[in-house]
Amino acid sequence: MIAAAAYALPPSDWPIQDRDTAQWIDTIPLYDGPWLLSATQAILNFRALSNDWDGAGSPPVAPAVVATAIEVLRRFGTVVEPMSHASPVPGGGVQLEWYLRDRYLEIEVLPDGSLAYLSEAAGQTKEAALSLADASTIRELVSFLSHR
Amino acid sequence: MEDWVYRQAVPPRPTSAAFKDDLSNEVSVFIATLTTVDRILDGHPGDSVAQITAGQARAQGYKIIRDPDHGLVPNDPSHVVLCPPPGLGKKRSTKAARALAESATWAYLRPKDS
Repeated sequence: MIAAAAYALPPSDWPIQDRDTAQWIDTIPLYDGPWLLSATQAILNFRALSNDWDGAGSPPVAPAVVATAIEVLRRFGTVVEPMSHASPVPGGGVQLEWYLRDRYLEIEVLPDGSLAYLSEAAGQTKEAALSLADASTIRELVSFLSHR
Repeated sequence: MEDWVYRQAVPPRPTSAAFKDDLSNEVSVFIATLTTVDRILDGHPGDSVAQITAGQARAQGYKIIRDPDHGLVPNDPSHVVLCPPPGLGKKRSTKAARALAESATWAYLRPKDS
């Protein structure tokens, strides 16, 4: 609620003493991307999906999958373009997508908590597994999204 | 005439997430000429409906299998499943799902804020 209250104020009124170093503890630095709060809320809303939410028998999205998706958003969202879209995936996954003018990235959190991504640019498609512990691939994908 | 199939999807655009299934690896869709958008949205008033052609699914290697027992009603002739290309096993074809999403159009797009 503190974060939500701060978000409602103009940045000059945010109750942060040192804007260069202050952060919410292990949460999202709001002033890096105000869109992150609504994006996080959109993902949190997937927790409310019930059984058969897709009309084809899908189970709900597990809390652990939602938590991992928010962690992915936090890793990427503070350094690259705003995420374009988030969707639940039939079967219990969550997918995050970035649509840029000349490139595309989707990262899916699978029901077992593992991650996979697909990137597209200049007609080239790459898909692979992803680990949040794999700093090299994370940097590569951040660079991919940040490319101008 | 091209056969169209319907699939529920989330605005603002049909995404590959609509053409995946993390459990069965099969995508449940409905033959457009044998159902209606209203029937698909019955009980799901907040959803939209995307459409692709059967040919577009086949071009990505999917087989289209009739599945009347798991449709909207018992013995639903409109219900079919897109079975992924052989050899993928449980690994979803993210690339194929992405291609389907790229070729999809809206059969019904829910008005914003409705």
